[in-house]
Amino acid sequence: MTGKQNHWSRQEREIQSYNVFFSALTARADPPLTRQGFEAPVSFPEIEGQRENVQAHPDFLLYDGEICLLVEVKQGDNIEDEHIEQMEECNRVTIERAETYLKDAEVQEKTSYNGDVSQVETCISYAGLDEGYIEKCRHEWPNCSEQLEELEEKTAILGQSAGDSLQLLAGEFDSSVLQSLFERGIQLPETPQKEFAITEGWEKESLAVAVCQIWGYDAASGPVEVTPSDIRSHFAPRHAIPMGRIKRVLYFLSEIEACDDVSDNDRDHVYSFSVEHMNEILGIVETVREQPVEGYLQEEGQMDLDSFIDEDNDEESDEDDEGEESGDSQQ
Amino acid sequence: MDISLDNLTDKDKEEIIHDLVEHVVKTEEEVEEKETRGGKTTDLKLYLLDNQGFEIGQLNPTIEFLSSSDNTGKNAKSFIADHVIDENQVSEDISLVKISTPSANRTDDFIFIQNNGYLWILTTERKEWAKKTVENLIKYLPDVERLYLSSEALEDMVEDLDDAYVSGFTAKYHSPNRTRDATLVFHGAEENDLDKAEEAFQARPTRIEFDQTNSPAAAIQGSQANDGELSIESVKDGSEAKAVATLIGLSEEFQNKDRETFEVEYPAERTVLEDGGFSVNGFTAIELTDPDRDSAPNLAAELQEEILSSNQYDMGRWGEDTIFVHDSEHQEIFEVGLEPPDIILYARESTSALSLRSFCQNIIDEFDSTYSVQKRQNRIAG
Repeated sequence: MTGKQNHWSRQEREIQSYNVFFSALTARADPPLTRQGFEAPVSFPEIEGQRENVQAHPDFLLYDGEICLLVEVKQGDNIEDEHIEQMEECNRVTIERAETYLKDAEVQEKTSYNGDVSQVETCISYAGLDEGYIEKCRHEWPNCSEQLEELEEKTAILGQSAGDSLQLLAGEFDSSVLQSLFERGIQLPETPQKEFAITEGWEKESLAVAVCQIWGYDAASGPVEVTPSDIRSHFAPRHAIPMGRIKRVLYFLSEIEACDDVSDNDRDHVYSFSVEHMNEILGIVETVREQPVEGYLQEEGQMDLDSFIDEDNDEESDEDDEGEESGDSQQ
Repeated sequence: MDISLDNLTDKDKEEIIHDLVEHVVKTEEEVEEKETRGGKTTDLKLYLLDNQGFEIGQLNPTIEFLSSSDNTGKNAKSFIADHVIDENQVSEDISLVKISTPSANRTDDFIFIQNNGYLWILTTERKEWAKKTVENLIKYLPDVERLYLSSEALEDMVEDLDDAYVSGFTAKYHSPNRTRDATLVFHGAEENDLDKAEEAFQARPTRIEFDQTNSPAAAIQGSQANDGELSIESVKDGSEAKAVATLIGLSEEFQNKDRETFEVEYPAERTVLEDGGFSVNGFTAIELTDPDRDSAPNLAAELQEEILSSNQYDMGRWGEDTIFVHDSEHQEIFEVGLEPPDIILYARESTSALSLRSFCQNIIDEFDSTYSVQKRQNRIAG
């Protein structure tokens, strides 16, 4: 089953890369970014750029009352064309657009500043990059050096590693504050908190983990009922997760006894998480690591009931992004 | 403890504590005769509890409820069956609680005082009876939990106390690292003896005895234990006011230190924003670090066996270094990061001091007493 296990480990690496970057903001980092005045009012924002109907989708937005820093996080070390395009989109965010976004009532509430921006900065942080790799890329691999040169013209390139540091490796910031901060580097904790549990591709396994963390954990203090629509609305409007996929994941969770199907009829599905399910809720990662959701359901000989027809027909692939991101699908 | 309801009426907590201090006052001669501590003295004890919802005046209905609730454990039910517990309210924040043990034909008295999110229980009953009665009651009452301090904090408190010095201590050592499981009980301690105990045995104090002078001679003898129990053993005639101030001062300080160590001041609240992005407000971690071993290759298995296998916990793993824990007693979930030999507790959205304190206490009491405890917290947004 090793092939199947790779399926989860790729998702896990992506999730881990968000968590590792996020740990730079916490009090376990040295020095935490918050000590420099940076806050993270929003993760996975959607910001209007200069082009009609095309948004920038950085993974994190950091803000210190003057600088608005848009951060893209990548799990590997491979610089791809798509990354360059994503950073171009982030670069198209003007000061006015950033201010408009920040002053959006909800986002503004999440900062202790007045929403004024004097500079928009961008950077991309790779989980697999270090100085040695950059050196080789620049001098030994022609294809790589081309990509690197193009990317570093557009943005600052950082490397991040748990238990090690978040560090500037190539390119530069306009802001001297950011430049010296990331040149010095930030020590990161060895085991960052698992704050994020979802991938950009919304694969069933990570969706199952996220549902357990968001709804299942609440069952510690009493039963929680949830419908597929509740889950879909929770992640809207930025994501339109296919309803069929959500239903399939809930069905899987009820099969492994992480929740009960308490539906009155075949049409309106309601699932209930309670304290009796806690071992399965807490153990969800081990469950999906052992076997993909579909693999489990097929092995159990689960027939596709009409109500569980998999509407999204998504071929699980090993690509990073499966086009569920509105931004990616519109480029 | 011969305190009647009439004696308590219209008194505030200082006045009541003053009355209780009278129980342990000794004359100059008695103090001089008293060479050693301990024995069957009736010292004044104060239990400090974190109060997450218990209200003065609600003890009797709470006991009635516990006696018939399906969720009440067997031990709690038999405790209630064997004792008669009766609360008499004195004022909004104070009550007198009598716990009778018919099989021994005795009644023990306790004063309950509500104090800014904490509950104080005072008594001059003998320790063996306090143990059999009120200490069990505290265990079985929902919403209250004894405070807990790390050894470092316990030492700091005595150092901060005016005119006081360490005069004895109990220190413990146990660690999965070595089979030795030691308890040092040390009377007549001098300066630096605590440090020596730690250097020589890695043993850390769980209870510290102190003497306090009201110059020139020792006037007050007291002690404090890391599980929220303070006591005043003797007070020289004329030093009553100082003893009251010491007891109240230590209690407030104990509460502050407990709060500094366990309170989740920046909850990891998550908000989904209108554009589908989301925000995490705060961050809290408690680091258990620097134990008496450099490596712990089987830390996860050890924790599972020693702590997480109890009925209090359910658990699930995420890879080699992360465990999600459900504390059924406090109905909370928290996250444990393993950085062997260090252990990191992360607060999740529903985590409060109750489950964090309880887990740290289990680790230090049951698993490895040589850890240092330190909270790290900050605001991430807002």
